[in-house]
Amino acid sequence: MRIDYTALSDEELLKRFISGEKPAFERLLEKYRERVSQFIRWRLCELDCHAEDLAQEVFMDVYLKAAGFRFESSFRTWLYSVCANKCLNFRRSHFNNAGRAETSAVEEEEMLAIPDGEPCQLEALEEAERREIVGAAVEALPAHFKETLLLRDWENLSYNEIAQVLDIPAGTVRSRLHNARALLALELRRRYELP
Amino acid sequence: MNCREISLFLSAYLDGELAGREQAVVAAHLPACAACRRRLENLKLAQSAFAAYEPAPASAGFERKPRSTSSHMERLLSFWRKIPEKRALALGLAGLLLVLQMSINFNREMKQSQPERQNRNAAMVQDDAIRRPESGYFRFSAARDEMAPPEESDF
Repeated sequence: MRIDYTALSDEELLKRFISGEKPAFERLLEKYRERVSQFIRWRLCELDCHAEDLAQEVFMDVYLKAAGFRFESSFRTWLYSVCANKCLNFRRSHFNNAGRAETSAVEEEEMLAIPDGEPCQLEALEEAERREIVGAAVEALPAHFKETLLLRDWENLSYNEIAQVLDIPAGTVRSRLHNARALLALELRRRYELP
Repeated sequence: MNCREISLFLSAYLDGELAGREQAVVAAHLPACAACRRRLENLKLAQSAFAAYEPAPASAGFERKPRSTSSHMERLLSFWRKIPEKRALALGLAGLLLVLQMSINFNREMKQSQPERQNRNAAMVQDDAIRRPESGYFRFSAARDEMAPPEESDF
């Protein structure tokens, strides 16, 4: 009987891979490689040309260390923790320091105001125009906002899981998401209202 | 709580990450405040826009580079894992190369020392002939000299 791997959860796929089913790993790779590459690209900032190499190393690690995974957290939390550690080590090896470059002018403590006007009608736009506005607005965000949004809105991780992956307090995750969405709403509005 | 304080909770409210009491306060505030409802709508718009955002294919290189395909990764990893199995083969190959190298060296040495050996042999034969005139070589030479026709004289 042919197994439909697309219907299985990540943890089930990992268990099957550990027990020797290689297509289960193929499915995990197929499912996450785009997002993992994107996460690494945003996390590496100016070193993003190395993102694909690091993404491959991440999946190599998953392949080799899968048997040691204890299923105490979700697969996604583990996967993105591996990514975050890879990026941190990579930055350390390049800049010989411990931290990542925070390029944002927005401080974590500062809470941005959310626009209180009528939301712009993006759905009324044509597909190409909508894509252009959304793409430009998202890319205008600071990298640490984008990576946090990715973990929340693409991967649906909880605040505690995001805190674990990024190694920051849960309160910082909350304020960062607030600021990221407020800024994105402002950017969308600004671009939508452009003549 | 005033609107400003409520607005700080809206993003977490959207994500269902507020504690029970905070959740209840925000839920009670929203029906009475149009501005906060619009703020929430703007946050929802930002959330849905990001969720639907598709960046340019990041991993085009994944497809482009053969080493990045999973089948290539599989081959690479299986090679690593089979290294112990291939150890005997590698040792055999190394032994063969060693024998080959030794035979090449031996041949080269033989070729280089051949004239020297011939000279040495010739010297030994001469020496032997001087020391033992009755030896076969000497006798054969003497017999050959006897059989040779006498040289004609001019006289």
